[in-house]
Amino acid sequence: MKFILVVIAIMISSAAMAARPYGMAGCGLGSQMMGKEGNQILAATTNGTGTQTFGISSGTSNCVTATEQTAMIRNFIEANYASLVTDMAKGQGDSVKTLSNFYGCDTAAFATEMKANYEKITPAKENATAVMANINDVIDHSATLSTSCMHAI
Amino acid sequence: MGVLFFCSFQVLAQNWQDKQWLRLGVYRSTLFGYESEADDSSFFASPDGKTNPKKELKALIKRLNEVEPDPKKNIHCRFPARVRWLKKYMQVPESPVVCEDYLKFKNRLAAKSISVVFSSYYPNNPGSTFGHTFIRLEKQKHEDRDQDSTATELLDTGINYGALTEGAGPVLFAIGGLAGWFYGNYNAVPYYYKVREYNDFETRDLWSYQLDMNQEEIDLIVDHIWELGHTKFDYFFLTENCSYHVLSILESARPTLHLHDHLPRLYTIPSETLKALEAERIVRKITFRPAASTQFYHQLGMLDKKEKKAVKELVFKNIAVPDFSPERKALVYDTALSLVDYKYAKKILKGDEEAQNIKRPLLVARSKIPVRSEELDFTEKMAEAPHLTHGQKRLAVTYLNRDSKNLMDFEWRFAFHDMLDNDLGYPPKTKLDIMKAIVRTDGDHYQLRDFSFLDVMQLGKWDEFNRASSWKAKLGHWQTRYKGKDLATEGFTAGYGISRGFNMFTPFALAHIESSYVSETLHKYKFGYGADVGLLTEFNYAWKLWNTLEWRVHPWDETRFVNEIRYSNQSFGLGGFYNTFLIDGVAETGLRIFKYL
Repeated sequence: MKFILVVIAIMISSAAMAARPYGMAGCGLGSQMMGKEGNQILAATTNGTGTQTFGISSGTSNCVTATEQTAMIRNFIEANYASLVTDMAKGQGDSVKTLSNFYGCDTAAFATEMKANYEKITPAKENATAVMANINDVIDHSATLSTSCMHAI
Repeated sequence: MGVLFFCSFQVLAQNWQDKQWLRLGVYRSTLFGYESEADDSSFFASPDGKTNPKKELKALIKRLNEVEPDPKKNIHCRFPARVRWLKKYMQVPESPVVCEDYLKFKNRLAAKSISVVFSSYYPNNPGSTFGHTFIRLEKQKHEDRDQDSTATELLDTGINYGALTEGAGPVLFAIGGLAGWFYGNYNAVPYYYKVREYNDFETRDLWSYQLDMNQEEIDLIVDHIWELGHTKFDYFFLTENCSYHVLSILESARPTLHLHDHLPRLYTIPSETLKALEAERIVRKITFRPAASTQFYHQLGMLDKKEKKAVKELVFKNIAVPDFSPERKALVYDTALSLVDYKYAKKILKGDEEAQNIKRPLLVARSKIPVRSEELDFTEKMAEAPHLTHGQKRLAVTYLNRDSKNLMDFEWRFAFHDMLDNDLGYPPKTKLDIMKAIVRTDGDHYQLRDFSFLDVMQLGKWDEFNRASSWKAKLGHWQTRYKGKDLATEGFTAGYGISRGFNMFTPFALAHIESSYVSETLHKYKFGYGADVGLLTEFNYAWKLWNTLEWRVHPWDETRFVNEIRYSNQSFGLGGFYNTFLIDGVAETGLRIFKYL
């Protein structure tokens, strides 16, 4: 089943590659973490690492080695998309807190602005690049955030 | 130069048997000396390194003087942990090259603290009872993180050991994992990937056991992981699995740790390794991260009847939430969002459109409610921590009376848990017996009454939000009742049905089939069917009651009424039972004592 996931993810990412300036297959869990899976029950027990992407000897995935701020933020948004959008709607959570740290903002202020501008920030279809651009926009136009976020892009 | 030579000779003679040196080389003592568990020549400085720790140390010392410009080949860059260890005993020349990849790795991890993370079973999957552990290297010291309200674990690093099983189908997976046909290796992933994988995608709880280790030990662990990361190991699911290697890594940093001593040599069970950590007193604190399903049921528990109904109608029928107060409305939406995350876990991670179309309106509506969600409190979960589970081995002695005869049964079970055992930390309403044998005696004769390779049963959670079926399977040897006699039989049985929980009562009904061979007297194949209709009553974790009518009419009547009550805690149990065959009224009444090991 995970194999199908990888195939689908690769197919989808190839189609959307034009919109993806970073990495080959994107940094979402589906395309990066999931190797092939023989069987749900047994995969859960052996926790087989079907993919070499994060192998310590190979470890060349841009999704983890990127040191440039923009790349790191975008990768984080993509890999934690579902959790992040949920946190933003609620006004709190681990994912939005981590994102706030990337930008060097006050967590409470950041979360409040994300929540207030939720519909503007999150597109109807999942898109990490768009979300990042929208967040940058919100920070720029926010009285509280534009002055206090230390690492605003 | 001469002095250096002499010093290194001394170091060699004194230290090739040093515990830490052997642990760094992942050496195990064998009949003939030592053998390293690593299976790649790149893990050794000497061609004989795998079986000769003395030669390996000699080669290491010698090759430190090599002028090798390629950091991928230079000994300093390949074995930073061993060099670090060696520096305790002698002067080591500086590296002639800058070890770029190693330094990048070290800086990326920026490790200041370490935890062992356990991913627990996932719902309706007894096989996942085995669990899994991996290491988390943290970017902040535990004490600092305790004080820092902006701290998150998501950017920490997960170090995972697993099998490389590409292309393997389920059967190959099972056999290969046991037989050691696969290689295993390490990967280093941002912790958020592990959270998405376990909490979200597989809906498994994550338990973090924060360890008390100092910076020096952590630096050595990072260096050692770098060394381990460039080799591969034969992966043995039962013995040298994820948890086994986690313990080995921890032991390499602190020679006074003897984690493996707390575990049997023949197998490693992840939850048992957590008990070893506790026994060696290196656990500082335990924290809990809920699976999607755990979070949902927790939030559901905070709602009243009307609010629960609102959640159901919102998610399944798109009916607007009634005019509750903003705080209650927020909670209803949060619960609804958790439900969608739980039910559509896999689709959401794939970015599936259907799932997004269900979730997005809920998210937009929630964002408009001017209430910030409260952080959920899972303190009560600590009482169910995985190191508190009963031992997975079990011994039982039964004194029974059958048909006016006094008999005794001796039972031994290798793993894990049945419906009436104390289920603290175990998946609820699950039986997973692996290798269980029952021997009966009347004082003169002994008879193998029952033997299961595998005996599994699951009473699936069936409520308004969840539809998990109930099922069972058994492979082994048991007694068939035929014309008043018990005949040895081998084969398998299976069943499928439903159950539903009403507070402490769980009635169930399963259809039953049997395919077996009666090897005693009849020497006939037997195909049977029937049904199990019963009730599991759970007063609490410790007290359980089982009443079942095992209706068996084909090929002949073996219908039985089975009743058992048991009290058990983490180390021992006591039970009573009354079973009777309806066709002739032959009954067994007995008392049973259990010891969990």
